[in-house]
Amino acid sequence: MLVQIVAQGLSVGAVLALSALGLTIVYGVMGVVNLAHGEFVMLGAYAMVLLSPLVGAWPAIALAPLVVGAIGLVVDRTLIRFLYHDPVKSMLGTFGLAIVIRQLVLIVEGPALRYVGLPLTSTVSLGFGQEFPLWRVVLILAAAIAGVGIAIWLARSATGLKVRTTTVDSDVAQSLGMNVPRVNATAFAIGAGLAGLAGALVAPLDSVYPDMGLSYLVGAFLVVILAGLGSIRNALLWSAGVGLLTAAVAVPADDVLAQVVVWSIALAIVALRRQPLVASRV
Amino acid sequence: MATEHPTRRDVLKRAGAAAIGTTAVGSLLSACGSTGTSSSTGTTTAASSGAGGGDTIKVGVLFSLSGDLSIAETSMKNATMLAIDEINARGGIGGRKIEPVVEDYASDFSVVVQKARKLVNDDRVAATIGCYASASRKAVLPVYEQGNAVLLYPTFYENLECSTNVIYTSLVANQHLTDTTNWMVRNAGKKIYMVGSDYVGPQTYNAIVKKLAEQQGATVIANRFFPLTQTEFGSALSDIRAANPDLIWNTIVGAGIPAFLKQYQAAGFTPEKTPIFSGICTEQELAAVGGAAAKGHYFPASYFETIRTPDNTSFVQRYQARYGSAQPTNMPMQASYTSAYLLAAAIEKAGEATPAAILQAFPGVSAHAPGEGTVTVKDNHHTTHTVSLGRANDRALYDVVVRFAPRDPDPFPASIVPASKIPSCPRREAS
Repeated sequence: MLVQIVAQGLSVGAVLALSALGLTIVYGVMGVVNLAHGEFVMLGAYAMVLLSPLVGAWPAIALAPLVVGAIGLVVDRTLIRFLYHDPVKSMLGTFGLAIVIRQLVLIVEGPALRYVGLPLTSTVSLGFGQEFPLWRVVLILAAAIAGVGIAIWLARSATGLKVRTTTVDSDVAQSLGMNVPRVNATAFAIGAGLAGLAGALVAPLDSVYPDMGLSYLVGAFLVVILAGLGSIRNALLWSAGVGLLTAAVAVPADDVLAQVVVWSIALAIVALRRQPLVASRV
Repeated sequence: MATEHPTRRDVLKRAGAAAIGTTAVGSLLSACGSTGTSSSTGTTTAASSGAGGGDTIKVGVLFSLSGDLSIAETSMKNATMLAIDEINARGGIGGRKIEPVVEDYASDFSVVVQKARKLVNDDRVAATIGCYASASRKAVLPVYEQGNAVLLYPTFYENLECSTNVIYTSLVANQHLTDTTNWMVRNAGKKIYMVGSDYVGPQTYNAIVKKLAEQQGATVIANRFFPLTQTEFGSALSDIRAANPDLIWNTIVGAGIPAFLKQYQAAGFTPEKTPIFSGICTEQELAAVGGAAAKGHYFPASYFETIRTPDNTSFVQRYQARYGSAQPTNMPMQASYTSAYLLAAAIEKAGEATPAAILQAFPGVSAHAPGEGTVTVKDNHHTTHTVSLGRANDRALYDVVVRFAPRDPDPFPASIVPASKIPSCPRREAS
């Protein structure tokens, strides 16, 4: 039972982490609370639906974040850049954006549930006679690689340095000659791309339809509220924590109770915490 | 001559509430309290003008042709229109053609009330065929009862209703579940694990199956419900593995269905060892599951596209000739089609096309249902049916495993309603 809870908890946490990472980067860099983040997850799932029959499942998973990242780039240049560093405006703007994206997908692709096959159908042994779906192992690995990769990229690369500088003070960054609009656009595209990756990876296990994004946005927000907006390491840790807590209740009891427990604890933490919600840096 | 109103309304809606499928019940009755037009006089005016000018008989066709429910309901509208055109082609009813008045309620349970009012009070239709999710039926009940109009409701639902003004033309639970439960306990095992979406339809279905299964000597080892929008079932699957049941009884609906079946397959469960019997999973939901994950699991219904009888082959051909073969024909479509024929038979029997006369004529009226045989409306406004048990094949369609004997409908089954609580039927539901 314990092995199952840990494995299941990490798998739930992996999906939370993949969707929370993008949300937290976008907030950290440009102060945008992106309520359309769930729609980028949905677009990633649709990219998987449409691309995998053409190029195969694995290339489709590789292409999905690029496609959604490109969409993110366009959205940033046409809409998001007018909403920087204004959380209220950004919430209203991205809420509207979310509706537009959902309805466009509904018009183009219709309301039907879409089919994505499972690339790996086998299970792996966890020891103690326990088995676990191989695809969930892929999810956990992908989240770990994406999280650690992004963290290293921010810490070590030249662009990462610019992103961190912009996060601390975008005016100073600009005055030092950095191309801040480009940094912002890059960060937004990466956030969208991560959401696209999440969508592509969950599509084989989930139901793909235009309204599917909301539950991912809610999950990502839960993590980001607990971790503090803008902190990658905390986002990864809290994703795993929320996933493990969910599984610890849901495996032996049930999922409705698990939601009640998780959200009650989240409320208590937020209510008792005295430090500001927003971490100072990415 | 169809008066179509394909107005596209974009409906902002919470995820999931959308795709809940067949049996969602919500108390979205707030909009029904104030009837704009004089509903008290509706009875007489609707009755007198329902007879029309003598040339045509107006029939309302009320489905979602846009929004989230349109995937199921557009096909039901199509099947209804096919039947109406066939009836007109053979000369109509007593020489009078049916004039369908098609309304799109855009998957919105307040729009459905406005559209029902229009059909009842403005168009003064003789009857309406329509609604799908229980929430839509519950929402329009006051309109039909206050206006003394007629609604033919063409899909299976969660029981416990018996309106004077509704004719329920598809299955209720005693027809849908009794023989299936007996078969499943006899053939798949006595250790049952139940899952379902957390609202009234699945809870009622699971309660009935639990009672029936226990009467057969089976044990229900768990009865687990999920929030409607949930599509992550890993925790439940871990618990199922530990519990090691003989079979799963499943009433997860809508978007949860593909997720549950795909995750079940991914977790290494096989239908040979632990089959899933679903209560609410037509071919439309199964299409998104895909043949690989769907194959070998069960669903009972009064109609499957794969039924190989000459009348069904012809029905499928006529439907596809007109609407294409993108979607398989299914139970709600067949019930919608049959509803038009039941209505025609009732008007013929009544001798006039007024709602009051039609309601009075309905008990005892029969029609031929493709692939199923004769169905008859009983005194309790529900319809006799013959249910078959289907098993999914690798094209995500159901093949018939066994065909059960016909059953009379019982909307208040003794398994869940104490004898003292069984109401008179039909009765006013919304006043």
